[in-house]
Amino acid sequence: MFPFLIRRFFQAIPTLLLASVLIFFVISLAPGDFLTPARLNPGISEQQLANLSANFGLDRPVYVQYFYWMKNLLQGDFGLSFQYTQPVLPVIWPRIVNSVYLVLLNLVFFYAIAIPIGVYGAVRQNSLGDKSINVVLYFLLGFPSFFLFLIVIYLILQVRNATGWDIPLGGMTSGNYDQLSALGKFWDVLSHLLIPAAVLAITDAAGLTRVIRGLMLEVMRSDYIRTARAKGVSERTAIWKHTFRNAILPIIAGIGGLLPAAISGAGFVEVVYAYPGITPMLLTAITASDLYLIAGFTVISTILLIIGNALSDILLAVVDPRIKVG
Amino acid sequence: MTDHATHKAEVLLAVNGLKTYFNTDDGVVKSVDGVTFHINKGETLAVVGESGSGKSVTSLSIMRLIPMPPGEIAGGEIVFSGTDGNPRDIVKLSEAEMRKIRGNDIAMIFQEPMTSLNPVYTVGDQIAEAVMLHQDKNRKDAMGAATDMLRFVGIPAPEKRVNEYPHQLSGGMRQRVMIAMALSCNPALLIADEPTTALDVTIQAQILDLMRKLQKDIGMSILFITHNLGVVAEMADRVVVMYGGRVVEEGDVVEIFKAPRHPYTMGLLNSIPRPGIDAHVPGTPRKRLEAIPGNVPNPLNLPPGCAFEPRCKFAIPDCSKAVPALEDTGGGHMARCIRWQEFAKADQGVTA
Repeated sequence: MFPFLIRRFFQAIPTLLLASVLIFFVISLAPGDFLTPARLNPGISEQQLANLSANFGLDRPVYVQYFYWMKNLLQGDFGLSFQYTQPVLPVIWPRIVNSVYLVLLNLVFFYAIAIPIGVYGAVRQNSLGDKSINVVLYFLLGFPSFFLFLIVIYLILQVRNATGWDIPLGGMTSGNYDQLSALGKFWDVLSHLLIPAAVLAITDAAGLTRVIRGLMLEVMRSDYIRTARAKGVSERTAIWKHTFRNAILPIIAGIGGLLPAAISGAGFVEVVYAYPGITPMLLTAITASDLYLIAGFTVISTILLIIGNALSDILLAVVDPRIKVG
Repeated sequence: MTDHATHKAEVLLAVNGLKTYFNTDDGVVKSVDGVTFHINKGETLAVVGESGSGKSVTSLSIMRLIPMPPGEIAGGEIVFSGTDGNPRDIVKLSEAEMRKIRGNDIAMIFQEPMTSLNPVYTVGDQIAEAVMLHQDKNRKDAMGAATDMLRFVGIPAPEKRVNEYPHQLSGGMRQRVMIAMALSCNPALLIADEPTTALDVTIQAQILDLMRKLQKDIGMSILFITHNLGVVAEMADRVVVMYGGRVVEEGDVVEIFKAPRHPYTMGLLNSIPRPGIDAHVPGTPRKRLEAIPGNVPNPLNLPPGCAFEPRCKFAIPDCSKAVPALEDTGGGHMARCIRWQEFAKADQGVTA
């Protein structure tokens, strides 16, 4: 185990270096920079622009900017966000944490929905239930998510008006959040998260459901399931102990990818629900060419991806005796 | 048939007119169409036939492991007398009652030892699972029983092997594990579906020796499914030859090899070299082995008469009129051929 981690660590160094070069230069390749809107503003003088440019380091060649960034990065400094004129990490960190709450709850729902439906679809293959659930899931998958969320918000509003229940419509906290107890705060955030996390999970579930159904069907046809039945095990044991355990191996192999996904935000749902996650901030940063904010965030994602991959390999070795870490 | 099969005390399993059909998009596939045979206590019955003759479907029907749908047991009965000697019809049992029989009274081993064990559990776990299911033992005792079973089937260092995973064992070792699993609950009947087909010849001989030895120790009956006549001669007491989902010949193993009464059985026997009879005389051209021309008929579209008629060199117009009956040719030897008397006469002519 230890030599494996050491080797993975050293393998990660060139990967990260190459990734950082790509990240930085690809962002720089986009036409214009953070000061382009200011240049178009006749109220800002040439001198002011030159000062700003020198301040932000935007007057130097791109590779020089990269080396300065890299030098600071090695010391744990992700640079300065142009928009916020603050270090990147303190700016993005709270937003990342907010997104992690939403994404984790979403993932719990996602697996809680996709696994039983996928297994059901395999056990009752081509039954009416299997087919109708598939139709609904595919419809939701194909439906534009931001529009679906608008419909959901409209429906919540109707329910609120009809019943007077206080269902949160957006955001992450209620107005009186600061006065709540610790438990009250937890419940307040959770109640805001529930609906977007669940709706997002349902709309995305079709893909994983289909994968699990296919994997289950493949394993159910294998000889060792017939052996298990010939032993006299119950249907439940044949499916969950013998089939499911083998079918989820490829899913576990992909679990490392969830680590960067957890911080990358939940996507448009955050915009539509006015949720203070990372997605709206990133979208703004891209429009504003906030170089170091985007690059800093992407580097963190890359590091998490590398850690996640190593974690996947270890997990896979834990659940599949045929695979050894090393 | 039912009467004489069930009333004799020594009959363990009697299959009477079993019909197993599969409903496919192209029509009903009659994989097993009225199969009748029985197995006595302690004997080995070999079921012989080509791929697609219905021998595996017959064995899976006895275990009630036919996937339903598309499969269904459309008729017939499978009367199993069991260890308590109390006959019951397997076809009519509930799934829960059937689960108590599977792995306990009737156990099964399969053709592919490489893929027949679950890759994510240790072999000990997999044997212990059967023991815990049927013998009311806790996990620790069951693992002990698993170790004993591994020793029983001749696996060296069973204390170590019991904690190993299937991928750490060779094919022959895995088949021994399968046998250990099948015998862990002392079954009255062991169904062996081509258990040596996927193994090296030397390992085949070891596994067959092992099965014979264990049968002597436990006293179980074996339903041995194979297409290998060499294995039949070595293992079986009686033989059932299947073709196109029907029994075409049944009888004592010596009788079948010496005096086959169905052209399909004769074809099978002529397609293997027999030392002594086919011995090569130096200086003469080598005799070629005879092959049966053509292929197994499409089960969706069986010939109206004898299923073997299109490939049979003795076929006459009468053969395609109706399915011939399974007739007793004497001494429990049965054949489904309208010309069996002519073959019997010809045999007498040769030997006389």
